[in-house]
Amino acid sequence: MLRGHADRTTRLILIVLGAIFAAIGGAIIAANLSVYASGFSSRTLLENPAASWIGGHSTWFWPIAAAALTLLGVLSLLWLVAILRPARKTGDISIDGSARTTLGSAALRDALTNEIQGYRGVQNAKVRVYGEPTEPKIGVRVNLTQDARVAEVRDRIERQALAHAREALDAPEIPVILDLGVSGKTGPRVE
Amino acid sequence: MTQDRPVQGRPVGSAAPTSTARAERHLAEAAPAPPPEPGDPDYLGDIVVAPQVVAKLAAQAVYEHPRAGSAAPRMFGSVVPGAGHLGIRSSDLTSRPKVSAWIDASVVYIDMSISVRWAEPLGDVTEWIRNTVEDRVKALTGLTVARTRISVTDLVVDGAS
Repeated sequence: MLRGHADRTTRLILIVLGAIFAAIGGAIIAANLSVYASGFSSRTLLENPAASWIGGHSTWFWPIAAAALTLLGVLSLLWLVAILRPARKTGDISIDGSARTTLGSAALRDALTNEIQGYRGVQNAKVRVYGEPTEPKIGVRVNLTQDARVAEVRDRIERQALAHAREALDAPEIPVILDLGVSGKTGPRVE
Repeated sequence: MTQDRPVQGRPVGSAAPTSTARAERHLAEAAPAPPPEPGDPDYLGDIVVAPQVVAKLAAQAVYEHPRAGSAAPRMFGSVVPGAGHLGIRSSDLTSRPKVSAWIDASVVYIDMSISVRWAEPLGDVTEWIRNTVEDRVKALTGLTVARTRISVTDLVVDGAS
């Protein structure tokens, strides 16, 4: 949740890796079907021309392999940091596109949280405002009680709480990520 | 506290330097007489407007808007516990907000922290407040408001939080 930038990076890297592995797999299948040269499918497992070639060029191959793997390790570390790093919180939201009129993101967070937590079927809610001051984004995580009507609560959050936020900010297109979960607790009952 | 003398003589920026003697002569003829200095028989004294006066005028303008009011101070993003008691300002649409004002010559800078009723369009409310503050300060003190910075630090549900 709330990691759109990291999700995009992850998705892109996985697509590239998937394409590379699919190409390698396709090449092996093609070689096995004797598309490139005949006799490949009848070779033994230990008859490995790649290992023989590396053995013959080990003076320069291994330093280059070490450098490439170090680079790969650094990229993997950056990837991990990008995934684990939370999106930057917004301090003040600009109302008029400048610093003359601002709304504290904590004020918006509290107002939204209080409204959503007042809905029937909501156990608790957590709101986060992040992104740029002129282009804020809202993340809402809501835990519902076990007996909540999920579609009803979701509809109410979208039609009322989030509509109020958009109306207050005069930003009908403000992006919102809504996460709904169900807790193990039932809602309060009056008998 | 900054002392201020009300605007007298030509407005700031009206006498831009020019390279021609003709233009300078024209400007000298067009400009009104300089204000009398202390010691002149015509000197009637200075009117000093304190920044607190401007701040109160601005706070009153917010108070008059039914959908805006005072905002409780925040600490680490949360409303200070006990706001509304022990002299700590609470978020209340029927109270005057905290306003700071600075006067520089005949120009005023105003900063205010306010609360607004939840779900009211903030752009409309703050624009009304800014226009009212600028007009009123100009009309009652003769000072020009150069900047009104409005920080909405709380959104209030139904009157008070």
